Amino acid sequence: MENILELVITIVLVVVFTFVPLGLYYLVGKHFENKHFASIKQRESLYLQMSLVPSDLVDPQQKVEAMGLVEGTVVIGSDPFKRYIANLVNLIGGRVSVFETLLDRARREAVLRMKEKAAKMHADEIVNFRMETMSICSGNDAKPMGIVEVLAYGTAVRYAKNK
Amino acid sequence: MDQLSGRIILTNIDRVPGREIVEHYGLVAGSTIRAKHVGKDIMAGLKNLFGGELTGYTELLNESRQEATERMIAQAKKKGANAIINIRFSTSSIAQGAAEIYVYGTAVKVE
Repeated sequence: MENILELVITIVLVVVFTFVPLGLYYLVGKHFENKHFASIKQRESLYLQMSLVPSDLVDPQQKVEAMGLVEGTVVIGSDPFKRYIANLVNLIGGRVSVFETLLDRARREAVLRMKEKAAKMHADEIVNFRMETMSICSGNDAKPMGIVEVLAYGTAVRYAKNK
Repeated sequence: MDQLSGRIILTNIDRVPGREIVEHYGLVAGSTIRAKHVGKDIMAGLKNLFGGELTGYTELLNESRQEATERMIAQAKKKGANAIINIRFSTSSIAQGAAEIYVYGTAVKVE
């Protein structure tokens, strides 16, 4: 009887102190993620006209009016729910999809910030686009992923309108 | 051609379209090492509870990248260049809480 009581208390404690906070982190994290994705999609549609090219070719048919370096950065961190899931996946291996969405958000946001800067220069396209991802705070066992910085940069080019 | 980024042309392609490189001054570089700000660190720690973007760190790294770029531009101007081509950025975490930002490129004169 006492053993069963102990078991029940342990289960209740685990649920209260592990799964309830994790559930909260999950809900809050998901809420912010959805909000961010919605804003990314909305802003991405604004800059569809501006092409992004990883090669350094500038259209030889047109006259270049102005050019300049543009860059966009995002520093992103994980939340405890994502870290918990990542720890579980670490045991069996495989895709850590919780971090994939996080990095997807960071990359798209960095590209958007770069495009926003280019749009201020009324650029027509961005050439020689480069992307760099860097872990600025290495993770440990408790935190498998620390803080990651994503840097996107390229050369914004504006062509003369009257050819 | 009007230059949008100050008086010096900055680009990460290896030439300046529509202009000719007349002189080459070699490599110019700028770097900064930044440690985290205590206040920003606490805020970032709080923010890290829910994941997502850490705005304090983004600002910090942006500021230091700006500073490194300015140092590179100063070096290029001293050499008499009016453009820096082939610019590359690199960041590395050299100690717990400190990051080095390194910017380098080739200083040239274009006409």
